[in-house]
Parts: sequence; C-alpha cells; structure tokens
Amino acid sequence: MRRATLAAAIVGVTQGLFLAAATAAPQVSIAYGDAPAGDAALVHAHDILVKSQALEELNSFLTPLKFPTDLHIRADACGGALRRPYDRATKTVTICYEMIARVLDVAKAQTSASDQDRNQAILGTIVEALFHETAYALFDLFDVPIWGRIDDAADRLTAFVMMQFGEDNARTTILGSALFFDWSARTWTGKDFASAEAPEAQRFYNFLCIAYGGDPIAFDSLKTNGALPDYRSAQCAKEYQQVRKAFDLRLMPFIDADLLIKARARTW
Amino acid sequence: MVRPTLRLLALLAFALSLTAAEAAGSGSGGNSSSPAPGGGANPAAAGAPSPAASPAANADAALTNGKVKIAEVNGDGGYRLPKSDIYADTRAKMMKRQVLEEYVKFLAPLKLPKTIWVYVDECDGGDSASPFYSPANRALVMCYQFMKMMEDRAALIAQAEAKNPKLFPMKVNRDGFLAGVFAGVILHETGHALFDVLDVPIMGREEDAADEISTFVALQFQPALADIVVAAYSDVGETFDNPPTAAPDTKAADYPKDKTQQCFDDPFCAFADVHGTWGQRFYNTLCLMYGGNPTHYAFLKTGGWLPKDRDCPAEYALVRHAFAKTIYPFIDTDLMAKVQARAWFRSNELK
Repeated sequence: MRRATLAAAIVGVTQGLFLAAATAAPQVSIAYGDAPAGDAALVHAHDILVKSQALEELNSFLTPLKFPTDLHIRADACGGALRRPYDRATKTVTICYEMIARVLDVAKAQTSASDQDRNQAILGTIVEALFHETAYALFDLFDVPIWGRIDDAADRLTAFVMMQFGEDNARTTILGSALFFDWSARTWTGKDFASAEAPEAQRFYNFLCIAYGGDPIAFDSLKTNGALPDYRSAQCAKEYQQVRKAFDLRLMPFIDADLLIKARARTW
Repeated sequence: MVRPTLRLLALLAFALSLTAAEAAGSGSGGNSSSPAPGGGANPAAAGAPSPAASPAANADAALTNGKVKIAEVNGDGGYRLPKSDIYADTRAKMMKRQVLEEYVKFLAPLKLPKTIWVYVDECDGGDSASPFYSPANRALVMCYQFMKMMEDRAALIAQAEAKNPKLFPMKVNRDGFLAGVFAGVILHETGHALFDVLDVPIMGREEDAADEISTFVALQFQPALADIVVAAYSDVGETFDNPPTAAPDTKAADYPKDKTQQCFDDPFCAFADVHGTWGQRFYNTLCLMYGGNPTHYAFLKTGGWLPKDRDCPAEYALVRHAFAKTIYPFIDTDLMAKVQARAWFRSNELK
C-alpha cells in the first residue's frame, strides 16, 4: 500500500514536472546590447536596428519553428569584429553592430550607385546577416547534418528562405545581398583561401543561383543579362532543389505548417 | 587550361581513398613502412596489412558488392578502348593495377538501395576531361585523360619540389602520387553517387561535400593511406592556379572566344564555379586531416599550414556527424572492418 502511494507520488511528481516543462515552452528572446557611446558608427548601427525593429521582426519570422530549447538573439558590439560565432553552449546568436556599420559604409562608398540600389543593398544585407547567423542556431538546435562547408550551408539556407516570401521580397533581399557582395569584393590570394568563409564573389554567385534556380521567371534577367554565366545557371535548378530537399527533410519536421503559411501570407 | 585545371584540382583534392582501390591492386601486399613525417602515430598500422597477405586473400572473398558493378562492353572489363592511341599505355596501367576491381572491393561494405556502375573511358571534352558521376545513368566514369594528365603533372611536381622542398606539407613518390590522386578522385565521385542514391540532404555546396566524403573516408584508414592521399593533392594544389587576380587583356590574340573560358579568365566570374578554388580545397582538406587526427598531423599545425582562426576539430566533428546521420546507416560494419584492415596500397606507392 505504501509502495503504491509512493508510486502514485512519483507519478504525480513526474507529471508535475512534465506539465511544468510543457507550460514553459522554449522561447526566443531578443535583446539589443549597448553600442559604445564614443563610436558614432556603432551607435548609428544600433539605432537603425532598434528603429527598424529588426530583431522583433526576426522573432516573428521564427514563430513557426518549434524550438527544443530557448534561443537568444542579441544585437551587440563585438569588439571590432564583424561577426561573433554562434555560441552553442548558451544558444546565443549575435548580430554585430560592426557588421551593420560595414554594410552602411560599403553602400555609402558607392557614390555612383542609385539610392534605390544602395537602399536595397543595405536592407538585403541586414536581412542576410540576421538569417545567416540564425542559420547556425537552427543547424545546432535541430541537429541538422551539414554536408559542405557550414558557412556556405548558412548562405544557401538563407537564400532559400528569402525565396519563400514572394518575388518582391526575394528581389530585395537576394539582389540586395548580391550587390553588397559585389561592392565589397576584395582580391583573394594564397592563404586568404584558408578562410572558413567564402570569397564575396563566390557568395554572390551562390545567392543568385538559388534565386534563378528557385524562380527562373522572376529572375530571368540574371541569365539574360549575363550576371550568371550559362555554365552555372544550368545547374541552378538542381542547386535550389537540393537545398529544398535538405530543408524539407531536416527542418520542415520542426515547423508548424499552418503558422508557416501565415508567415508567408504576411507583409514583411 | 586555367579552368580545366581548377576542375581537375577539385578532383585531385578529393583524392583520398580510392587509392585504396588502386592500392589494393593485386593484393601483393606490400606495405613498406610509414613514410610520413610525423608518422609516429602508428607506423606499424600504416603498413599493417602487409604481413597479412594470405589472410587478406581469404578476406577478399567477402569483399563483393552486388550493387556496384563494373560496366563492361564487349568484354572490355570496364576499361573502354580509347579512341586515341595516346591513352593506350594509361589504359594498360590501370588494367594491370586492377583499379576498377579494387574499387568494387573497397565499396563492399555499402548497402546501396540502387545499383551504380563504374567504368573508365576516354571521356568527351578533350585532353582535360575530368572524371564525373552521371545521375542520369547512375554511372561513375573515370577518364583516361585525367590519369594521363596526372602522370604528366607528376614530373612538374617533382621539379617544383626539387627547387623548393618546403613547397608541400608532405612528401609522396610518383607512384604514390598517382595512386593517391586516383583514390581521392574516385572517392570524391563516389560521394556524388552516394548523395544521389542515398538521397542525402546537402545543405552546403555539393562539391565541397564530395571533398569531405573523400577526405573523411581516407581518414578512417591507417595514417599511411590517408597520408598518400593528402600528400598527392597538396602537391597538385601547388601546380594549379587559383582564380586570376587581374583582368584579362580582352584584345590579346589568345583571349578565348568561348564564353565559359572567358569567365574562368575573369577575376570575378571565375568564382562562379561550383567547385571551390584550389586553395580552398587544399586548406579544407588539411583542416579535416588535422581535425581528424591532431596527433598524427600535428606537423600541419606547427608548420603553419592551417588557418589559425579555424576550429578544425570542430569542422571534422561536423563532417563526422553528417556521415553518421546520413551514410553510416548504409554501411555493413563487419565488412567495413575488413576493408579498413586491408592493404590497399602497394609497397612502391608507400615508399
């Protein structure tokens, strides 16, 4: 009898724990760290993200995902670095004000570019940076097998996601990112190629290829104007389908399909 | 030539373990001792199978795979008759080395849901044609042109090394180079085949993923085998070019008319290739080697060959994780142990 009571108590406790766990569903938290007061460029970057509610938007965007644990997304000053790697231990994604400041700088330096192009590059690249850094967290939290360099994987997932929200959003984000890669391209030689990150020109083509492969009608001009050489554009449908398959197999099981439809129907 | 080069490199880069196939060869067994600098990790194991020549012969009987077939035509054993005489010698050498037969044995542990075919041919595309996997035919095609080109490369590499011994992270002899290149390349193409028939999710770039397969598989063998592969393709890396850094003279007499070739000659457009640059592939490989065996490949770190800001053990762990999740379930582990224990390289290649 005593044993039965004990067993019942254990069951009760276990259920209680279970319920507690269930009620405290994992959450995405966002935060804007302070920019160093003396650094006008970083303060400006901070202000832009805050005013545009970049992290709030990103958070809404992630709503369909069923996270297994809490995820923290921070915008922060990174001590001069453009990027701070995703922290697997604390499940923290960081967007560096330095990166945002760099995007603004690069766009500003393009004096012969139209305002529209510059704005597209800024907006597209900020979205790209947010998605790219978040991709690392998704790979970790959902235990996604990564074949091919992880930084390229983050790019491909980013470009693929950019394609799921209508052709206008796709144009802004993908072509904007590509403009930035073009404008910021530097000459790579020798040991530069040891980097885990891809050269800007390579990223340029990777993004455009996912766009053309995913929607050869909306992005037809990429082929006709020669932005994508024929020998690459011929492969793009395959590249897009490959990412789509990886997404469907490894991320879709963690996405609420109904919420995803709502997200796709929303104006961003 | 610039571009084919890049593609070749890519192939080379991958080159790790097929050598195994090459190596396995006639089962003559010889493994001389470990050649590698820093080979202290396990020199005996490197050459290990050698003494096991006769047990190996018995074990070989188990090394078959009904889903990996040599595509024969008119009894050619999978070694097509080349159209040009200049490849006759290359063909003869490959037949003697039994590269296809060895390859099939090497893949014995794979439980494939669909049959894949393999053969050697004089491929379309001229003297720079590269090996490839064709999903449409589920066929892996090695090209005589490629192996001949590598034979020619071997001489250039030897010259470069004589001039500057510090040009390459590891040394390999001519036979080892050719075996290592063949192995790495066929493993790379095998990666493409596996991605296809096993429906593997590829989130990154497929060409890099195929390189990862090649290097990762090689690293599951005794260091002497992996050594040959990495040495082979680091050597190649030094003889092939990264994308150009200056705009081409479009008015020059030798400026190509072909648009694709023009792209390869352009400092920006050259990056449109689905393959990484040779430099990227070179460092990716070294990083995985070090990440997979930091003791044996410590000299890569101390010698300054690795990127300082890259966490190579973490990168290796990522590949290992992907392999475990997507490929390992299709492997017969008993047969894998047999394949790992076999001497795939010959003594003349290991020296």
